[in-house]
Parts: sequence; C-alpha cells; structure tokens
Amino acid sequence: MTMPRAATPANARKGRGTFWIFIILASCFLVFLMPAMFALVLVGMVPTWIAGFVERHGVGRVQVTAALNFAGVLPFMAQLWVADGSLRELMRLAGSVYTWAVVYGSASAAIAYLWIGPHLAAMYLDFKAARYTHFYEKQKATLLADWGDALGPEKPRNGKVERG
Amino acid sequence: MAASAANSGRFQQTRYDVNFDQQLPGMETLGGAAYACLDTKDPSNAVYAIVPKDGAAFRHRVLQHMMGRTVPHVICPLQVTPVEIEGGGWVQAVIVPFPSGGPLWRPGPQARFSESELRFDVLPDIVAGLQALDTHDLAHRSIRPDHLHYADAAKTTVTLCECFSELPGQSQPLAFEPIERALAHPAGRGSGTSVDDMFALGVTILSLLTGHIPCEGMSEHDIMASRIARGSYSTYIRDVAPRGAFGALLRGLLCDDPLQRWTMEKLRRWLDGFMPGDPMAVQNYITASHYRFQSRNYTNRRLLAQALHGHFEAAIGELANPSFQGWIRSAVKDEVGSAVVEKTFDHGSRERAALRLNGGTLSKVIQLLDHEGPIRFRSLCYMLDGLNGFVAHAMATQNATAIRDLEDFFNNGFARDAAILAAGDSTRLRRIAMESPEIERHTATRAFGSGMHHVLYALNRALLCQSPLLEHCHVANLPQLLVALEMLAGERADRELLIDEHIAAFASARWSDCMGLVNDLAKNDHRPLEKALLTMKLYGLAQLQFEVGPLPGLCRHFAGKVRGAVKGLHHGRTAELMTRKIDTLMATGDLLRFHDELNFFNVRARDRERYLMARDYLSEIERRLGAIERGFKPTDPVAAHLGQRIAVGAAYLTVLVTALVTAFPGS
Repeated sequence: MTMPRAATPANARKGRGTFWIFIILASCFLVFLMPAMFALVLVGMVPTWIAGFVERHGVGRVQVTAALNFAGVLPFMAQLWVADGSLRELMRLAGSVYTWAVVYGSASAAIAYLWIGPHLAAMYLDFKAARYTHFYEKQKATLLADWGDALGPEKPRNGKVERG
Repeated sequence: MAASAANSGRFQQTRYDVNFDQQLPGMETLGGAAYACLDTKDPSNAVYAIVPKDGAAFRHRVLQHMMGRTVPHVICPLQVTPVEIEGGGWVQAVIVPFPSGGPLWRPGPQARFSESELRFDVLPDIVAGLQALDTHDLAHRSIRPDHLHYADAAKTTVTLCECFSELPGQSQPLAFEPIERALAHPAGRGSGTSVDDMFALGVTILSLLTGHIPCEGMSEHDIMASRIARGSYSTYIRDVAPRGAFGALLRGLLCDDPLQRWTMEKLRRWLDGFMPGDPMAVQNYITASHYRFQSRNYTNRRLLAQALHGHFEAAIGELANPSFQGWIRSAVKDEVGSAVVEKTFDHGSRERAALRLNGGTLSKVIQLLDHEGPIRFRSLCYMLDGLNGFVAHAMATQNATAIRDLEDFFNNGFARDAAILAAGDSTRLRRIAMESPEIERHTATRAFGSGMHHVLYALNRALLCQSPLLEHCHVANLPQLLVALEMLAGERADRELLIDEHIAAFASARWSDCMGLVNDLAKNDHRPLEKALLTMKLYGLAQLQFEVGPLPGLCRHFAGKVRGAVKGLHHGRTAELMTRKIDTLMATGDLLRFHDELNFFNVRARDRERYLMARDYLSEIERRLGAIERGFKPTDPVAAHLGQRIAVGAAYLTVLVTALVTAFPGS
C-alpha cells in the first residue's frame, strides 16, 4: 500500500513564498482602495500572520488556520463591503465582542481541525489495511484450496517411477 | 522342460505335437536338443523337433534357404513353430524329418565299409546332397560318419543330417576340419564353402573305410602340429595307404591347399569312373630360412603364426626386431602380402619409433604369415565368416576376456585391416569384410541397446533373444517379444521395467525402424520415468507395426510405472484426472494410444509451469500481507500527514460554505 509522503522543507518553503506573495499583492490592493477592509483583514487575520511566521514545517497547518480565520473574517468583510468600506462601520464592527469572538473563534477552530484530522486519517488507514488484508487472505485461501499442500516446499523435479 | 506341450491359444495350433519327455540323444547337436514329435495330421510321417539350447545360434541362412524345401539326401527343416510348454512359456521348435533307417555308422571294426559299398551305395547319395546344397550356395559343415543316416527303414537311401542347429563345424572333431578352420575357435570356424565340405567328406570316407576316426587318441595339439608340418593326408594315413581309385580320391579330398583340393565336379567325375589327377604338392607355408622365436626355430609360416598368437604380448615386441622385419620380407612373397609388409615396416629401418608396436600390427603380421588361417588377436581366433558364431559363443558363455578383446579389436580399427587381408580375393569374404565399419560403429557405442549386444543380434539373425527376463520364452521376433512381455507383465504387477540391454539390442537389430527410439532410450538410461515412457512407445509402435492384439498386461505394467510419476504432479486435481485417464487407457490394451493420449511429459511441463506461477503469486501475496501496516495512531507520520490534508480540505470546505452563506444569506 502506497502511503502519502510528508511535505518536505523545500515544498514548505515554496508554499510559504507563494502565500506571502499573495498577501502582499492583496494588501497593496486593499490599502489604497478600501483601507477599512485592509484594517479589518490586518487585525482579524492576526492568528494567520502569527501561524505564518512561526510555522517551520510546511504550510498545512498555516493553510488550515488561514482558511478558518478567513471564514471567520469573511462575513464581516461582506458587511463592510455592503457599507462601502466606511470607517464608521469598521468601528461598529470593532466595537462588537461578537465580531472578535467569531473572527478569532473560527481561527481557533483550526486547532480542532488539526486534532481531529490525524484521528480520522488513522481510522481511515486502519480500515483500508483491513480491507486489503481481507482481499489477500481470500486470494491465498483460494490458491491453497486449489493446490493443497503442494505449495509448501518444492517436490522433486522428476516423480520417481513406482516400483511395484 | 515341462512334461508335455500345452496350448493356451497364444499361438496358432500346429500339426506337430512335441513330446518333451522323450529326448533323442542321437539327434542332439551342440546347438539344439532333439525331442520326439508326432505329426497329428499324418502320424506315419516320422518327424522330430529340435529346440535351441540356451544361447545357441542357429544358422539363419541355412534355415532360410532350406525351410520347407526338399533337398535330396539332406534333412531339411519343415517348419519353425513356437510350442507352448507347461508353466506358461514356449519354446521355438524346428520340426525336422526323422531318418527312420537309423545311423549309417557306428565306430568299431565291424563298421568298415567296403570300397564298392561306399562307391555305389553311400557316396552317390552324399554327393547328391552336397551338390544340392552347393546349388543353394550353402556348405553343410558338419559332415562326419555319425552324421550320416539311412533316410528310410529299408536302409536304401543315405542322408546327411540337418546342418542348421549348430554353428558350422563347431562340433566337428579337429581332424574333419581343414587346417585353416581347425586352427580357429570351434565357434568361429565359419560357414565356409563346399571346398571345406570336400575335406570333411574325405575324412568321412577314410573313417568309413577304416572303421575309426583318424588320429583317435592323439591330442589336438599333436594332430594340428603334425597336419601343419606333414600335411593332413600324411597324418591320417598312418598304416597302409589306400591304393587305386580310393587312394586318389583321398589324396584329392584331403589336400590341405583349398585351391588344389578336389571340387564337387572332380568328385562327380570320379564317381563316373574317371580319375581326375592328384593335386599338386605345393608347400605354401615353408620358408627358405628359419626364424627363431621363443627358443624355437620356425621354417613354417603357419606354425610361426600359431606361436606368435600363442605368445601375443611377447610377439608385439618382436615386431621391432630388425631381423624379424628382414625375415618376414623374405618369407611373404605374394604381391599383396609384400605390399602390406613394406607398408607396415616402411619406417623400420629409418625411424623405429614410427612403427606401431601394437596388437593390430601383430594381428596383421599373423594374417600375412597364415593368409588362409583365422583372424587372431589376443584371445580372439576366428575365421572371417565365423565372426557371428564366435560373438554368439562369447556372449552366451559370458567370456569377458573375449568380449573385451572384440571391442578393442573393432574400436581400434584393427579388425578392418585384418578382415581385408583375410578376405583375399574371395568376393564372399570381401562382402563380409565390408561389414567391419558397421560393427565398429556399434562397438564404439557402449550405450543401452548398442555395443556388443547389438553386434550379437545383427550378426546372428536366427538367434533368440537372450534376455534373462525371457528365460521361459523363446523369442525369435518382435511379435513374440511382445507376447512374452505381455505374459511376464500379467504374471506379476511389481516387475522391474520390462526392458534390458538384450531386448533393446534385439529390437533394434531385428526392426531397424526403432533404432532412433532405442538411441533415445540409451540417452535416458538413468531416468526411470523417461525410460519407461520411451519403452512404452517402442512397444506400442511394435504392437501397431506387427499387428499384435491388445496387450492389457503390458498396459497395466506401464500404468504402474507412470502412476508413481503422476503422484509427483504438484496439482492434485490434475493428478486425479491423470489417474482416471490412466485407468481408462489401461483398459484399452493399446500401448501407443496409452502413450500418446496420456502425453505425460506435456502435462508435467504444464503442471510445473502453473506450479511455479502459483508459488510466485503466493509469495507475492504473503509479501503484500506482510507489508500491510495496521494499528495506526494519529501521531504516526503517515496518519499525521494525511490528517493534515484532511484538515486542510475541511478548512477550505468551511471557507466555501461560509462564502456561500455570506453571499446568499436569505436562500
């Protein structure tokens, strides 16, 4: 059974580079066009920035954190977008505890995701191993039923002529 | 031998009933035992049966030419027939007319015949018989007084006894054989010609005249020494030489030079009252100077040849002696002999090392010295036309020395040279000499069914198969071989494989088509299964070729051999199917069908191929089963990595759902 290979440091470096290029481009776009939106993202995505800075072993966990963090920020970005990115709306949102609870709560859900994921994976791998084992055992049983004990140590090449 | 003949229907019933209880010692020969026999169709027809003794070779050519014919004044075989005996076997009996008048002569003074009795009552019949044989290009080679009988109870006709049941001249006292043939081993005296019969007739006439056999009481060595030194006539006529017509007759017939000896034509003229001239006295073997060998001087080439043969190993060293080389140059005067001497000793004076000091050269030298005499090499001593009998005798007596010497003689190519020299100008002997390369080919191969065994059966066409397996059956041909083997196979199921060197050689010599199969058998001599299947094929082909009926016993025999191998098949179901097939085919009694439909080698090869594939697959399965990891923990790198990917996927899904909910809040 072929198992997936873990991310190598080279892959991780490459992923991280792409991630930061994306962030810089988005920041440039937002800082000039929608400064309120930029501020919301800058502050709301702090867990992601921290994860991005501290993570040294691939981008997997950063991706999970970033995705869930973004899922928490996304509804408020929508509200800000509907309010044409006004600073008043930003201040209203910033003044609500609910906003920060949602934003950082969703980011913290990454911990749960990253904890449950390996458990699910272990269960899946065990299930798959059991399925393969069953299949090969069945094949082996069929072979042994057909050939009997002959598949043990090899018999002599020439059967001896029966003497009487 | 069993008490009486029985008939179980194995062979066609013949009209002759052989009584094995009643032997006829008077008609017995070295090669055959004589038994009383009744012609059931015509009881007044007096017959008796001759049954070959163990290892005895009948004269095939004589049997072939005289069978069923009426040759006047010679007893001719009427029929060759297998006669079943009690105990299951059978013997090969030759039915022969019985000379009802009894023997013509019994040794003793009262057994003398007068010259007129001989001339008018006895000799005309004998000469007529010999002339009849001569027209068939046959020689009797057993003429002596006790082999003459009255054919009828009225004792009006004299007849010669049969001459097929023993090797030519084998039982003849030394005095009755011409010198050159008397020097040979009794079994190798050769078929000879009518010239040899003339000599024996001469001695017979002398015996009938005197009432005793010449030189009776003398040792064989003294007889031969005297005959070579003084001539046979002088040796035999010790007291008073017959005078007149009989004196001339005996001088003519007892002449030691075959070219000078009276022929049949001269004998007939003598009977008609003419007097052919005496043979010229030619001293062919006397040399001008003597040669000293083993402290004895020799002036007679024939005696020296005998001495060289008698001290064979010492004589090989003598070849390098320059005085011997010089002597033989002067002693051998004939054109061919001189050329051979020059060629043989060409290097003698210049380069001695080039001279081949071996038995072959000595054999050639002996032949040059005694060009009419037997071929001599170590323990071998046979006439060129007596090789068949000599081989048969050596094999029957299991004379290991003679067999080894024969193999050496042929394998080294010595026999070919000696045969050419011995053949001389005779077309008949040259034809025999031409068979030497073929014999060499067989003696060089010591494989199963080849070697001396093959030579034995190839040279002796009437010889029964000498296999110890067939001790109760006289097997004369392939169909009889199959019947005998069927009988043996039916007797006991646990027999060893029913083939041996004798049977293989017999089959290949009698049926040349099976030579290839016998060669294959030789190659597989140490592989029991292959040998068994090839033997089955051989017998199956013979069964088809000679239209022998079903052979269920042999089928059972070979089935027993194959069953063991079938058990060795890896695939149990295939083995089971093969066993059922064997049971079915075995019942048919058809060996060739059994062999072909069983096709065991192919089945075994396929079984082996499938077995190897199954083994490979099983080991691959076990490898894969061993490679499967179980009991994963979340902390395992594989599970952790996969878990992370699951988390990433779930996170992106969450984003997607959130985006959708955000974009379409009311729906």
